[in-house]
Amino acid sequence: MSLETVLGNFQQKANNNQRVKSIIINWKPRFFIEAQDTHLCYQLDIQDGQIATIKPADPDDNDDSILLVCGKQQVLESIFSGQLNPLSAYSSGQLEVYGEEADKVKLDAVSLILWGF
Amino acid sequence: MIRDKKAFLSNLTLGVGMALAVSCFAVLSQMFNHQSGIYTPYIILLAGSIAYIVAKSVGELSLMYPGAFGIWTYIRNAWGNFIGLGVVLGYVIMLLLVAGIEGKLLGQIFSVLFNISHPALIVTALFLFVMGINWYGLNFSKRAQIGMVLLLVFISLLLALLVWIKVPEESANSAIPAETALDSLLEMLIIAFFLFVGFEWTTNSANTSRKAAGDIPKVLTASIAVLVVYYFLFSVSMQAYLNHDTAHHSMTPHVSMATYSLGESGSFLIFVLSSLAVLSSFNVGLIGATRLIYAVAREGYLPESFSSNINRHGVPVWPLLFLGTSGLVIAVFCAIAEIDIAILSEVAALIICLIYAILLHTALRLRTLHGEKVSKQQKLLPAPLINIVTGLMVTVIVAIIADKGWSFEIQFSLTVLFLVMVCAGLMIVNRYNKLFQKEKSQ
Repeated sequence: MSLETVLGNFQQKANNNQRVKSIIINWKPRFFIEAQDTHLCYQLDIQDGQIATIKPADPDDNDDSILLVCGKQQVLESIFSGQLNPLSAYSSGQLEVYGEEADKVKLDAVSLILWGF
Repeated sequence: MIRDKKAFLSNLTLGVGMALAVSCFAVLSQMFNHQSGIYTPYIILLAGSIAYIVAKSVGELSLMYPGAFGIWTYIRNAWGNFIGLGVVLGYVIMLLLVAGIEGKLLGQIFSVLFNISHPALIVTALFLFVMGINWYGLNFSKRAQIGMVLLLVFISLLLALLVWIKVPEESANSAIPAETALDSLLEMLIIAFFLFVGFEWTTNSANTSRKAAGDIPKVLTASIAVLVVYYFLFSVSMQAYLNHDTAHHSMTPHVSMATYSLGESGSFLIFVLSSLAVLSSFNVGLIGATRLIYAVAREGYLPESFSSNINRHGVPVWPLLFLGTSGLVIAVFCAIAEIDIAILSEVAALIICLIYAILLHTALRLRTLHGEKVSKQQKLLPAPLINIVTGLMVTVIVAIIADKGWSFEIQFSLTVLFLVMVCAGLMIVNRYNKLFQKEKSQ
């Protein structure tokens, strides 16, 4: 499965979950996911508690208000398909996350609701 | 070359602000009271040089794991989960001790300046305020944080200069002990590390872009440089002041120095500035520690409740309540009881020294795993230097604990605390390993 497909499945799963919706209802981060080894990069547009669109886009490295998640493509695919605990990947250094602390915790809360770990 | 100047300044003031708290002035006072108090400015330079080496090592680690979970990531990757947990617990205990010291000192200052007879109420209000801010996931704005720390540094140095100019030369009848005793010098060196506590928090709490993350090593070393210059100049002025005025038992010498140079308005000015700096660093410290506890719990090392309840502002509720309430209880207890601040700061300094020694060797250990990855980006410290400094720090820590002469009650309490930490750590790791094995077999 490609990263785009994995993200598409993630979008569907998240949008169908009411608890996720209640958590991200007023959340409007500029959220990017970047595969460092394959240089694939996507922006997830979150609006009204839903992941509205996923489109290829490059993050602005000068912008400290964005939420950026980077890692190897395989790690990102494992995380967004629920096979790898994102916090374990983050703590072990497999995953790089840049952004506000509250945004990081919210993102982690979404994975906790969806995958249960 | 600094990649992001704005973020650099913001992170620099975060690191400096975390280290610059009211208790630092109490520690300076404590150092001047030592048998070899006269050497305080030189001890600051020595401790600063060692802290600079630690900062270089932490900077190296931050480049190995950019955008990761700071110290928790570095330690566990190098030494495994058990030591990683030990360091996290050590940090939490140290933060609570610092909360106790800060609470007591702020209570004292409030009582003196505003003639309030119940300092515990002030301390409670302060903690509830910080917890309230944290509950809503709020930070002081970057501009406000930069402004507060710069104001504190410049105005307190200006006051120190005024004191230095004002103190008459002929009154130089030193009341500062001037013996050259090795044990006293070593103890002062350990206490001096307390002056730098928190500079490394930028690796845990800095909200940075990817571009700014590359500047973290420079932020860390610059923080140490600023702190060393600041403390050195302040201690030189304080020495002159103490030679003139023998009231060196004050745990808030910056307030009495400000009163001496500018009268009552000076003391209010320095009080307002240091209170704002304390609020800012408490807030950042609590945010960082809350996330640290949350992360450790999320991975199954601490009770699940610490990670399961997140409010709509993205704040983990139970870690915040646990840390905030524990800090409040300790601070109020310290504010009411006749607790000797010197002992609390010595214990906190010993803990941070041990953590710094571990961090120093962590860089060395991970260097062998990562090979050339980091050396291309940064000039590395030579391994023999790191080994010598780590060995020196550990030897001094052991020698001081052995020679401390603490009362039986304190020694007993510390031993029990240490054993509880070890047992709790072992139980947590054991439980995690069982869960992990179970998941694997399924």
